[in-house]
Amino acid sequence: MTIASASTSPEGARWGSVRPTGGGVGIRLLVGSKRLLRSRRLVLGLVVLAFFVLVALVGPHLVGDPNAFVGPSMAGPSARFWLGTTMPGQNIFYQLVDSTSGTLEVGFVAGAIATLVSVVIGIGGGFVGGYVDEALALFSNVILVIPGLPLIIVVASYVRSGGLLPTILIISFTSWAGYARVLRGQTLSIRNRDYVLAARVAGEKAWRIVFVEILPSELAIIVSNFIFMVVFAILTQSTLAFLGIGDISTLTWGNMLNVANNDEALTSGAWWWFVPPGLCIALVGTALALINFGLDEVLNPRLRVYKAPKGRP
Amino acid sequence: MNTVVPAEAGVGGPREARAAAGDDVVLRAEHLSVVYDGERATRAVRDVTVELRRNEVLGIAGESGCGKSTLAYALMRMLRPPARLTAGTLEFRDRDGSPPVDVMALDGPELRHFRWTKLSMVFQSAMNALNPVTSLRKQFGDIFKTHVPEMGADEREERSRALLEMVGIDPGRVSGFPHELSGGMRQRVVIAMALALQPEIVIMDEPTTALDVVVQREILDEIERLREELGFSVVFITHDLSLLLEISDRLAVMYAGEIVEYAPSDQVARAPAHPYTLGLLESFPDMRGTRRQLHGIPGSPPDLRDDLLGCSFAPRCSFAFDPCAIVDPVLGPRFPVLGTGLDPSSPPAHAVHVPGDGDAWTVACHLHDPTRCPSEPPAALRGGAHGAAGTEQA
Amino acid sequence: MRYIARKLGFYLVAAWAAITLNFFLPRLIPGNPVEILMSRLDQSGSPPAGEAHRLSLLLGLGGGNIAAQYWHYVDALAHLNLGISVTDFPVPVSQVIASTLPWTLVLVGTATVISFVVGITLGAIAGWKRGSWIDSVIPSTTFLTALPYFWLALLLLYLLAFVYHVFPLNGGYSPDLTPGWTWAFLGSAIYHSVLPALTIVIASIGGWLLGMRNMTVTTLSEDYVVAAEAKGLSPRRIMIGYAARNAVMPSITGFAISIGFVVSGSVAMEYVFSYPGIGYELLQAVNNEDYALAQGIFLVITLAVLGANLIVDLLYGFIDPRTRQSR
Repeated sequence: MTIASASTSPEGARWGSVRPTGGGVGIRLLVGSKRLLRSRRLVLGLVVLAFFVLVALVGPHLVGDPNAFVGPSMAGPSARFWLGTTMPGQNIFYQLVDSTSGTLEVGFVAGAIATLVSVVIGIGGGFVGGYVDEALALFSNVILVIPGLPLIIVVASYVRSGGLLPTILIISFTSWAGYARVLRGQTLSIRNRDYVLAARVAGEKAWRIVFVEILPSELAIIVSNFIFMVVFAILTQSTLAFLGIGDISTLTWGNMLNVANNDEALTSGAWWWFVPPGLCIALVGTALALINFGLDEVLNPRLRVYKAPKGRP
Repeated sequence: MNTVVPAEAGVGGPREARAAAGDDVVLRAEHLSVVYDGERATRAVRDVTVELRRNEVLGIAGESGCGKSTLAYALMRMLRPPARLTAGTLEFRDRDGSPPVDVMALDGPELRHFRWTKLSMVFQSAMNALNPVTSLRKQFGDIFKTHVPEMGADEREERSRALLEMVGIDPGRVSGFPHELSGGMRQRVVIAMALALQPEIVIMDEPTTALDVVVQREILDEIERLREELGFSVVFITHDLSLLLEISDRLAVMYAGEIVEYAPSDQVARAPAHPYTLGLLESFPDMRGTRRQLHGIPGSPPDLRDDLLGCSFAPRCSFAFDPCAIVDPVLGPRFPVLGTGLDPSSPPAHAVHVPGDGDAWTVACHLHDPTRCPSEPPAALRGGAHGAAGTEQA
Repeated sequence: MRYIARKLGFYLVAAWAAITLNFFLPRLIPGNPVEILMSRLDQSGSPPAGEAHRLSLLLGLGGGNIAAQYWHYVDALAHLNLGISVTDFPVPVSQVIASTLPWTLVLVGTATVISFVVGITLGAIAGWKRGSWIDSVIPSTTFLTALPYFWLALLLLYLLAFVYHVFPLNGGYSPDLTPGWTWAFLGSAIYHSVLPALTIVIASIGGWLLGMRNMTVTTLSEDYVVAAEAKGLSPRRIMIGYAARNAVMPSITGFAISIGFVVSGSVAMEYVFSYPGIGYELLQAVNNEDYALAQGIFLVITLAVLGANLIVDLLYGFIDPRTRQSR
């Protein structure tokens, strides 16, 4: 019943959001599934994300050819063209729907690869320890401080073919470092906890300790990292596409914005062309962030806002 | 369980009885109740009445979650949401003889001034009670700047150094940072800070729990020495009953948010009157090294969100009998009343019981209520089976 | 001190890694970058004699084995011989960088610091007054953090420059002024920088706010804050000296890491505003297959970010006494 007994080391908490620390959060994540749905943010985020996933899956089959020239040049929204037309007269709504899958694909695939790399390097290094760990940590830190986008731009200037894959790969390999660092820190602290030490003394196999003792307790962090990396990948891909770097044949929201910008949509006042794609990016990003904060809120009760009962002095 | 004699009952005679002993009462808390708001409110402190006298050590004992720390925060008026004081009065008497202060009525700047100048606190964990990023000089300085604004920089420095020296720490450490100190040293620094303004009262919430036994002993001796030197009262909170019996003058044992036994420590040491006190005593080794069997108390404390029917300890009590499950016991005189032959050395009991009066030996247990339990309480609760008291009786 | 030595050592390693990475980049191209670059230069005018040789040394494609190539490359860098720009022919790359870098440094630096300071302050207040109106605004900042920089730039530009003519549509200063230390020029430069700066501030403030708010909430339940309250210190002193002082630590570490992200974001932002900074120049270089310029800019941006990181790290060591000890 002490009011102030909990404490977190400043190292334990990371910039951006306060992460749940300590063993067993992964398990709490699973056990607390009922509580999860009580978080309004989480539910809202899941609903919005589900909507976009649905659009990505079935949308392209419901709308017409997004590249066909079907209407007048830069017409505003109307009953026929819900979001108006582009300069060459393409249906913007069709394009918007068709772009969803490409954008989400880059986000989730790059996010998954980056998560995998960060888990292998972060947990692996932290668990193995010694020079391997020192070297991997140094490597992560170096990658972390080298600014990603300029590097991507320079690399992309040399590599100009191959669809979305090069974009996905290069985004993954420039974005894992920060989270590897977080996971390494966690692993180092878990590695020295009593139950893990006990398992080691008892002669448990290393892979078993990693998969049974360490990984589950870091699950919440890994999930949260994955979500952030998806957002980051979507933003980066959109930026690259907007700048016209990398593959420009696949239709994505960033790509639409690139064309809109090149065709002077802004100075023509064609807001219907450049507002919706950016809004979609922001909505998907917000939905993912809400999911993350919702999870955080459920797993880290101290962040919950206490509401005083009414009628109190 | 609305314990103790209702406030009206203490109007006539008891007032005079209090007046006699009242001059040396520093802090008197009456009927304090604290609730933690939630989906179902937790009643963490339930109608507690205690008094603290000048230059004495009042011990508050109990298991984790019994409300002892919450009580300490309530005494400092430091409760934060979701905790909330729902009832009670708090009266402070300064040693200079100025009129009593109604602490509950203090607000804003008055309350901030009251804190630390009159009543300070040593927190549970010394590791975390010091600001990790500023020097000790700055942390001492903050206290002086706030409460003694007229004090100059030189004097502040001098005082800080003197305080460190007083608790046995090299004054040069004043420019150091908390992480450079060992656990014991940090606790000494925290104590030095608590004494910086020479308060009347220091509340110590488990001040030695995080320390190893040797350091714990050093700190306890240090507190004892400082108390003799400076003269302040201490409310000492811990789960370690045998430690409390050694250092406190009087003792309040808390269970489920209530005081279940309240008496002079040396007397409790010989013969605990409440089954819970007995249980606590048997779960710690004796500080003086008397060998005896250690027992834990079976079961766990009740959920304080529920309304408790009957005695809150009854489900865990091996002496429980019929009334315990239904009727809420109130804090009343131990039976048989002290001075009737059991212990010739103790002072005679007061004719009328004053709530919170620590000279009386009160206990909230039906076994000590002649109207419910006409026979004498079990031998274990009369000092029959416990420690030295057993031999004394013979 | 050990801490400083460690940090310096780390950033030297990081700088070396960036320089080495830069060395390997031209090998990614299927053809010969030197030839492509020379033909580009020939189109623009007549490059000075021996430029092809200097370029091959610079791009790490000179003669000899890889060690010799690496040595020539480092030697070229050390003499600031970064080649000639195709985009701004025949200006040397080093000069192009020198004229564009200050624009970005001042703009991004100022905007980032403003965003950090305002975000941290509001975050601390929101955490301190949990449940108040300022705290209830916090969730909406989630949306801000998900905004792409360039799209926000487009929106601001559309609203404040195209629809309402409050700010100029593009550029870093009025075209009828010549750059120099005149009031007219400085005024124009500041006027032109408001929208770009606003973009950076809006897009990055949410992260600071949220992080600081959560850290403040966590810190408020720390014993030293409760103890400070028990000491009767004024709420102001507790909030600044105890709660915020400790809560800001992770944000400062985050600030160092975020510099790279902000610089990345500002590349796209500069493109939207046609701002005469180094990010815009980088895009021009890439579009013109101006490899020497692109690589030179990448290197300079990276070194600038590393330098900024080093400064923040040293500052951190100064304000957190715990780092001064051993680690």
